[in-house]
Amino acid sequence: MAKYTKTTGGWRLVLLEPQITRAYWSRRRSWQGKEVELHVETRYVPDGAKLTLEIWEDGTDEGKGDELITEVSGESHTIENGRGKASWTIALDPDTLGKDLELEGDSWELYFVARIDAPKVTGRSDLLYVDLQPLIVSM
Amino acid sequence: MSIVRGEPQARWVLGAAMRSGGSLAGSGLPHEAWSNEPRGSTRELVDAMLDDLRLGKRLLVTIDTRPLVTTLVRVDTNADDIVDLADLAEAESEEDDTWVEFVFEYPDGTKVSGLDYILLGPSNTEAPGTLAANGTITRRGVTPGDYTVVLEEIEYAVWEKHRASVGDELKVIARTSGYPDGTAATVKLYRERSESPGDELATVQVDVQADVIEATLAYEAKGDEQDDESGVIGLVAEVSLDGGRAWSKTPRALQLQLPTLAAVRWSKARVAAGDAVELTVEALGYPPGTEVAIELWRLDWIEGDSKLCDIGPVPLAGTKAIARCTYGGSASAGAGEAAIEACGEYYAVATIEGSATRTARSELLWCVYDERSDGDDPSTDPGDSPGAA
Repeated sequence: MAKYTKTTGGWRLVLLEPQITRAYWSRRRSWQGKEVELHVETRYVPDGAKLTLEIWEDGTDEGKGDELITEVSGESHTIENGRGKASWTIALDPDTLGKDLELEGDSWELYFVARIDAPKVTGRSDLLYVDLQPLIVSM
Repeated sequence: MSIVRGEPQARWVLGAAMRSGGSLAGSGLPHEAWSNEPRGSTRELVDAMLDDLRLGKRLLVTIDTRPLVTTLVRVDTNADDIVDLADLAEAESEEDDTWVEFVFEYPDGTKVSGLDYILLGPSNTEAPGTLAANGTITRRGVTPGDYTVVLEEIEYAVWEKHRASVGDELKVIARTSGYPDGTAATVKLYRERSESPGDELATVQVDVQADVIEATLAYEAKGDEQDDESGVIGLVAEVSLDGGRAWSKTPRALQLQLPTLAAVRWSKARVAAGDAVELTVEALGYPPGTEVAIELWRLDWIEGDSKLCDIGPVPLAGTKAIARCTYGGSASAGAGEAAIEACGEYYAVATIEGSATRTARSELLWCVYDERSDGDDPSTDPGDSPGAA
């Protein structure tokens, strides 16, 4: 309960834990060249708190460590009324594919890390499944 | 840390960490105000210093009773009269119970600000406010008793159940604080990941009662595209108050089973004359008793497939409807049963009518040639191999 009682003649310290309650992609699956949205929802984070968003490739399937792809650029991202939002266009090829960043195969599992420095709190999104080529349905 | 007591002080010289991050001079008070200041103001300064000590911050404090000359910062190890600050605080609280203070902090030590609250006093007084940048609520000269800070917020919102089917009532429960009974709340239903304004699937208005919001929602497909969807989708509820100033979403999506014909399968793929086989239709997202219409078809690559008969309709028991087929027997077909006389390959088509019709087809059932019927060698008969013309 968000109720805190103290008798006169004393003081009370109330510690509130800032939280990133949800961090999610606007889609579950997407393709190279498509734009996706990154959504962050928080609790006890003040308006104007700066939000840093990093895109990572999940290395679980390959038995490798996760790899940082990029930090979402653009206008500075902030939290307003507990929410933050950014857009990112998937552009992994040719700058990254098979070069410095070893993206395996032609599909990837990505997640993003949302980081707020003041107050300090970090959250991780669920996975976004990305294919290099869109599905082509034969008729 | 210690504080040296002497004559009524003329000046505080404070170093290291004041709550504002600098010396007392940096707190914005006029320099002259430190000398000959009213006792109440001095006590506020002492309170602030004690707060920092309670919070574990390091302070270097010297009370210098000499005439004001210059700023001093020193550790006096030879002082005759040294008291522990905690003792001083205890003594103060005993002699003054007309103040109360709340300090809101994050674990990293930064102050919480911007949260709306209500301060409840001992005689049921209510005073609304918003946490200032210093995260502190201080009241002085108040009636002794208990004071309670109630944050105005929705603490959480959860689904009553985590799985449901179309047509079920979807109940969401939220816990609030700081909002009186009767406060209007808005509850919106979203499809997971499509949660922007305008994406609402349903909206209901309810009231806060005893710090609880309860709402019942229903999922209805919008348009043909959603009507035709099968499988499972996630639903998120957002509960809001005060025009959206306070809000909370269900952190875990409710898994809604859409009407789906999941499987139509035979109990075995090959039957000989005299055998019986069961056809199981598995339908998810339908209430028990829903009727499943089944057609039995014979595969014919040359002349085209031909419908042999209808079976049922067969009602769903739980998520399954089961029909029975006999091959080469003499039994007559009853409800939910069919008789196959000729060898060949057969398949079943199951259909459930509704706002959107769902249809699914089984794999092939191979009814092998009955050699007892004419004595021919089954291996030479074209009806004895699956897919044969």
